[in-house]
This record gives sequence, C-alpha cells and structure tokens, in this order.
Amino acid sequence: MQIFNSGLFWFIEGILFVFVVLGMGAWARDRGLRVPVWKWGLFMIWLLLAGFTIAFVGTSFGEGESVAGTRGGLLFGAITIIAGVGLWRVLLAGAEPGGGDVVSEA
Amino acid sequence: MSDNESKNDGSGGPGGGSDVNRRDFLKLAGLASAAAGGAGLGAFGYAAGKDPNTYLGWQNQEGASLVFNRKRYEVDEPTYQEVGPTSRPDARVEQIFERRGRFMREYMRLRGGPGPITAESFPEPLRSYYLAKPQDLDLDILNTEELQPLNRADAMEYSDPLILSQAWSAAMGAVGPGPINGPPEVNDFPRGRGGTRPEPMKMKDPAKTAELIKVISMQLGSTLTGITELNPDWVYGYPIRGRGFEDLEQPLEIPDWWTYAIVVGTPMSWDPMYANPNYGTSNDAYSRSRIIAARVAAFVKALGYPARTHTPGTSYDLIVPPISIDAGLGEQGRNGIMITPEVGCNFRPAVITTNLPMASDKPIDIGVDDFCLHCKVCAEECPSGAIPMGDKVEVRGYRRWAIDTAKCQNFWTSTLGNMGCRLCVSVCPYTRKANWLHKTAMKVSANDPTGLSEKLLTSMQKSFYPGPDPQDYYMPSLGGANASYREPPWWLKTEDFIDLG
Amino acid sequence: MNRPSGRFLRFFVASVILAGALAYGWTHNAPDFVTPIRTIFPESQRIEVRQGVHHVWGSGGTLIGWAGVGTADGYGGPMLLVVGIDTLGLVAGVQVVEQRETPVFWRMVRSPDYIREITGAQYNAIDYDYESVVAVTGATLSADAIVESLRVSVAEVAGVAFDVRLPLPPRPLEFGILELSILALFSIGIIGHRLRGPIRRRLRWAGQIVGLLVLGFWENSPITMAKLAGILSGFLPDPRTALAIYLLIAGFLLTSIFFGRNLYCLYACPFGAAQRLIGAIGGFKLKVPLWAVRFMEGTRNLVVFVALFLAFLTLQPALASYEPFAALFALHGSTVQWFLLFIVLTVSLLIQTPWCNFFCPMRTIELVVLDAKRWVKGKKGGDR
Repeated sequence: MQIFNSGLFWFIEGILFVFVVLGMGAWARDRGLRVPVWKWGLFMIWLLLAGFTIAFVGTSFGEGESVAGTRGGLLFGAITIIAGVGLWRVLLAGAEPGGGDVVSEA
Repeated sequence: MSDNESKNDGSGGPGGGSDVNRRDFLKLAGLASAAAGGAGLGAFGYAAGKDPNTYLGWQNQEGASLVFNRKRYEVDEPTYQEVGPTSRPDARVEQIFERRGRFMREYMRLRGGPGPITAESFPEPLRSYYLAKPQDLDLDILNTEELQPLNRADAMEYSDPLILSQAWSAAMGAVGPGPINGPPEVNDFPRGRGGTRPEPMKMKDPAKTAELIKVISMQLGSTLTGITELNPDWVYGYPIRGRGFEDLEQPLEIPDWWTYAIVVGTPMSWDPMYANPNYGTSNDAYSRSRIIAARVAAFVKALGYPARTHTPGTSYDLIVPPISIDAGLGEQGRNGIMITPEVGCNFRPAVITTNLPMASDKPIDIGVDDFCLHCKVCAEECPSGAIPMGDKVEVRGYRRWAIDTAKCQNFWTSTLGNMGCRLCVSVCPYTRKANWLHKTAMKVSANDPTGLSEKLLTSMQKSFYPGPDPQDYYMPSLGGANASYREPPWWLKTEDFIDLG
Repeated sequence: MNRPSGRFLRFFVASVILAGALAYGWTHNAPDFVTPIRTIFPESQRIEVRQGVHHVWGSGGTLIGWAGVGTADGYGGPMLLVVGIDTLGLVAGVQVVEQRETPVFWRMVRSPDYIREITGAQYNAIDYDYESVVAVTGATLSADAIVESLRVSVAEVAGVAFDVRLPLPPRPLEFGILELSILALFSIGIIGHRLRGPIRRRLRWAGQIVGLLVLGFWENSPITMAKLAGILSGFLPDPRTALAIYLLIAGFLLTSIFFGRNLYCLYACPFGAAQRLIGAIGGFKLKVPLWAVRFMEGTRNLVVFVALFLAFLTLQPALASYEPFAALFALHGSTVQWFLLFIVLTVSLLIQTPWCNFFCPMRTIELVVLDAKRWVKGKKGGDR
C-alpha cells in the first residue's frame, strides 16, 4: 500500500490521464470531429466511471469480498460499456462538415 | 502557417476556432497549472510533515483515526426523541446480566420444589417484572434449562477449531475492570497526603479543558472521544453488584459530582469481527476501553477532580450508548447501539463521570436514522430475531429502537462463539474499513437529502455482501452449522497451527 | 402442412409430459400434516379428517381438539398454516406446514411473538392484529397472508367443531399506481397498434419509459416464470392483493388472441424496455443469421419446457425462474443470473432485444397461444 500512498503513483496516474485525453483529442482530429467542451466533460466523467469500476473490483477482491467484486464488476461494467458506446456515438455525431484530415465515411 | 491566416484552412480540430486562440489558451493553462501544481506540492509537503500516520507505533494516538469531520453534521438535538415523562432504568430487572444473575439464584432454589415455577414464585422486583413480561421468564428459564446444557455439550464436541479464537479472547480478557474501593464518595475522589482530598486545580477555560481531555485520552489510547453533560435519565435507578454500593435494594442517588461524562473507546479488531460469532470477541475492545478509562480517570484525579469509570462488560452505573450519542460520537441504529461515521457499529465505549468543568460536544446527524428505517439488514440477519423490523418504540419516555435483550442473550448461549454474537455489528453497512470506497459511500449517504442513495446502497449491501442463512449460525444441536459471517483471518485458523488429532 | 402438425405433435407431447409432472408433483409433494398436528397436540394418538377438518384424539379415544388448515399467498408461493384448537375452544398452537418464503421471513414466523400472542386465546376472540405481525416479520404481503390464513382455518374449525359461523370480513382491493400503469400501458399499446408513423413511435417510447420506471425499478413486477408456473400449478394468488399479475397475464393473452401480437412484450414489459433503450444507445441492429435464430429459439423452447417440468415435479414454482429481471430492478439474484444480465444488456447494444428473441419464456408462451389460435381458426374453417 505504501507505493500508492507515496504520491508518486498518483503523479504518474495523472500524467497517464493527460495522455489519454491527448489521445482522444488526436483520434477526434483524425476523424474530423468537433468536440465542444461539454463533450470533453462527458468523456472525463466516463473515464471516472470506468476508473471507478476497475477500482471497485480491485478493492472488493482486496477486502476478500469476491461476491461484491464479481457482481459489482458486472453491474458497473455493464453500465460503463453501455455508457461508453453511447458516448462514442455522441462523439461521432460531431463530424465537421467538409471533412477533416482524413476523408471520413460517416 | 503564420498567425495571421484565417480559420478556414481545413485543419479545424478539437475545440474549434483558430490555432491562435488555442495556443494562447494552452499557454495560459500551462502557466496556471504550474502555479496550482506547485502550490499543491507545497501543501502536500506541509501535510506530510505533520501527518499522524508517520508517528510509527503511535499513529492513532496522534489522531490518525479521525478521518471524518463531524463539525459539519452537528445538530442541537440528538436523533432520538424525548416524547414523554422519563424515568431511569431499573437495572435490577432491565439490565440483562443483573436480572439473570438474580433469576439464577432464585431459580436454583425453586427448582425441584413442588408446583410449577411462575412469576409469583419470585421475590420482588423480579415478581412484578415477570408478571408484566411473562415472555422474559420463559426465555430466562429456557436459557438455563435447555440452552446452557446444550451449549456445554456442543462445546465439548465442536470447539476444537475455535481453540485459537478462544485463546485470543482469553488473552484480551486478561485485564479486568478496575477495582471499586467502596461507595462513590470514597472511590471517586483522588487521595492526597494523609488521606485528605487535594484541592482541585483551577482550570482556565472549559473549552480548553475539553480539548486537553480529548487529546490526552487519545494519547492514552482512545480511538474516539466525546464529552457531554450527564443526562440523569441514563443513570441506573438501582445499582448493580460489584460497584461498591452496599445495599442493592436502595435507589441509586446520583452524586452531584457526576456532572459530565467523558466517552472513550476503541473498535474491535476488524478481521475477527467480520468472522463473528465464532472468531470475534468483545474482549479486545473491552480490555482496551477499560485500560483507557482507568488512565483517563487517573489523569482527571491527578488534576484534583473526582473521576469514576464505567466500563464494559458489566461494570457500570449507567447506560453507555445514549451518553455516547449525546457526546456526538454517533447516532442510535436499529440494532440498539451507536453507529459512528468512522467505524460504524464497531465501537465499544467506556465512560468516565466527573465534575471537571468541560465544554460539551454537540450531537451529530449523519443520516443513520433515515438509513436504518429502510435498511433492516441487521434485523434480517439476527439469528434470534431480537432486532425489530418495525418502528421505533417508546421506552421510559424516549422514542428509540429497542431490541429484545433476552432473545439476544439466549442466542449467545446458542452459539459456540466467544462471549456473544456481535453479528449485527458485522453485517451493518456502516461497519466498513476506512478505504476510499466505503468512505465515499458514507459521505454520499450522509449528504444525500433525497434518500435515493440510501436505497441504492442498501440494495447493494444486500446483494454484494451476502451472509449465511441466519439459522446456520446456531450450534449443531439447535439445527445450525456453527457458521460465521466471514472466514476468519489466517492467524485464528486453529487447524493450521495446532494438531487437532 | 408438414410443419404445423410437427409443431402440434411436439406441443401435444410436451403438454402431456408437463401434465404428468404436475400430477406427480401434487401427489408426491403432499404436505405432511401429521407432524405439525403432533407438535401442537403432543398427546395425540389418532388424526382423522372429517368434514374437511382434522379431528385429533388422545389416549383412551377422547377427542382432544381439531386442526384447521389454511392456505395463504406469500411472496415465494403458497403457505399452509395449521391451527390447533382444543376442546375448550382455546388456540392450542400454530404451525406452518409448507412454505416457500425466503429463509429470513420463515425464521420470523417461527419466532414466538405473534404465535405466543394468539396461543391460548379463545377461538372467537383472537386478535388478528395485522400491525403486530408486520412488526415481527416486516414483510407486509406475507404478514397479510398469515393473518388471512389463520382467520380462514379458525373459521373452518369453528364451523365444524362448535357449529359457529365466524365473520370473515372481505379484504380490500389493492389498486394503485402499479395497476393503473398496467392499464395505461395496454391502452397505449392498443392505440399505438392502430397508428403509424412518428406518433406511434413517440407513444411507444413514452410507454417504454413508464414501463421501465414503474413496472421495473419502482415495483419490480414483470411477468416471471415463477408467477406463471405458480398459477399453472394451481396456486392462484388472491386477486384482491395480486391484481397486477392477473392484469398482466390477461393483457398478454387477450392481446395475443385479438391482435395477433402480444402487447405485453411490446409495450408493458420493463425488461424489453431496458433492452430497447440500450439498443437505441448502441444503434447497431446487427442481423443474426437464420440458422442461429432457429437454434436459439429451439433452445429457448427447450429451456422453458425443462423449467416448467422441474417446477411442476417438485411443486416449487420459484425453480422455474431463470430470468435476470430482479437482478436489474432490485439487485436480487444468483451470480449466474448476474452474468446473464451482463451478457443480455451488453449484447442489446448490438442486437435487437436479444433476451426477448432468444431467451424469454413469454415468447415461447406467445407462440403457443398464437398456434392455438390458428388451430382453432383452422378448425372453424375460417381463413386468417
């Protein structure tokens, strides 16, 4: 547990989070998508949801509560997947007229 | 591309707009982030220097267990209500251990005599009590006649796997309650030279004294400390044995130096607690609370003030849970005991009564009352059915949840676990370790005015944290399977350390 | 004409086997009355049923009392209570013979409080205090069932033993938001069925949301195999308290027969609504190859048959429930049902209503009903 208390771990997680966001930005640019601020907000909320799901499962198994880990994983996992697909479609709906760097088929 | 080119060059990206705006924004954001990040690191550094968790070996003494900010939840009135004319409990019959002690002495005499044993067979005050509550007479007899012999028989046959658990419980119980040297006017006061009473020190400010007592009690081992004025309704109407009162049939007159109550205590060890009833024990928290109370009383006496300890398991002149609630440590739960925000039901307090002038803490409201209305997990899991599924009731003028102590204690005799059951503590959604998940759930439930989170959290509790069928907790001769709520920690698994043959 | 008669044959054979299982279940799972009666009357030597009431004799052939048996509807199925009344007219004891409640509730009923309160009471002065039973058990529906059952059995005994007719007050009809919503949903369905275009679509979506929220998350009362199997087994819940299930099943059957399409599935079922909602989020609508569809439908029909067979054989309707509805709407279910729920919900992103099409027993029942309708019409010589 010490490693997670040291602060260095979260520092690195923060940097990784930034890379995820930059990556999403690059993907959106390739697809020629407009991503207004509120869509960024949805994306970050979804990242928190996905992170919560993973951390929940880990914490439950760490506590020795395998039933909680399994069922919670299934419940929050289903919500994360469905919300993720929904978010994906919301993002795809923001295609720039006139296309972007790549001619999109959307 | 120069800065002056127009926007419509086909390279629009996220955020839209021109490259110029985006670059400026990013520059500004970078600068602001550097400032904020730097400030954060500075703050982190300062906190790391002060962090109680770095006082290795003394973490809790330095306040590491104070993970919940109670100030936000303070209210003027506790969440139980005074609804009618109040009275003090008659411990001779209402305190289960005292009553059963008196019952046993009479019953052993009456047994084998002619005619059936009824309420009328007993002397007062048992007689009136059993006439009013015939079910308790049945349950008291059942405990003596049937449950205790069955328990002894089952213990002979099935206790081997519990050897380590029993050893641990006995070890924790090796420290008993402090001695009571005579009646309160003798026992409670510090003794000076030549047997005189020393002059109490002049304390500057009750608020500062309260702070002092709290930090001292923490240094002396207490996990949570609260201070309140003592409500006389919580003091027994008649004393119980072992407290230095000579005549137990004389009403207890509350000495005028029992003005304030300091509540101290610790939780029980977590992993054995989750493996109740077989692997947990009350002794680990009892003995530590006794030691802390004795130390705090000694400190108060050293300041020249009287101090009297009231400690678990049965060395009290008062009821501790409502005093703890008055002192702002938690709220009453459906299982009758106090639920705290930090450790849930897992807290075994002791009280020190004194007239050292201290400022009182205010009671808190963290949503327990509302949560317990709908949750009922403890009532569903209780093997004896002692915890009510229904509404609060009125007891001696207060509206509160009341359990059936006779049924509860009968279950203690119906299991092979150490001195009791404590399942309601283990299954309560509030009794959770202090990791991010449970701390967040607790804060959400305490701050949600709609009650939706309570319903969702209760459903998740019942679905994600299942336990054995309540019948299974019983010992085998009563149709059970000696089950425990969770697996014991590795260090209590007897079969791994001792050759059971 | 090959296929219809092949299907007809399979249906006929399946029905015969299921009827046989039910017959076996009823005869071999007959409740044991002797043990509870002996518990109430420890000195009993002979027990005989006369005029529908168990008569109990002690040593020397003296009549020591009577036992009345009542049925009551609980959450998990019917309960049978045995009430013993002695020759003085006092309640000698109460025993529960057969129950399908959850274990928690069962322990509460065993707890002495309520039983103690009425034991020793005069048979015509029993306090049927509903509130105190609730306080013991906390499960209002089943508490009501206990009180009702006690009333009925005591009345039976009173009639035969003492020739007294005890009053049985009528129970009020429960009709609230749930029942109203069901009627509203079927009405929307009937109207929507006749319309076309955007109005129909909006009406359907409005209905889906109402169904999902009320029948789903609020009340958790879709049609389930357990309820259906219970009714088919002969355990008919009291329509005054269980009106909702009767409305749903009636709506299901009648709309299938008169509209050719069952409007329960399309408009009322909350689990269908959940899948359609997720499908709208996913927006995929993949096509499933025909061979897979046929295979899944065949498996589904087989599973329905096996579930009913087991439920009938053991006379335990709850065994037939393999749906994961409760896991979604109330977080109740076994780990298997949770996995099933996860699969169904995520696959709903890709395929239209996978549970409805490939797993739901109601689809099988609907096919049976439609086949029967067609067969009847065929017999009448009419043309579809």
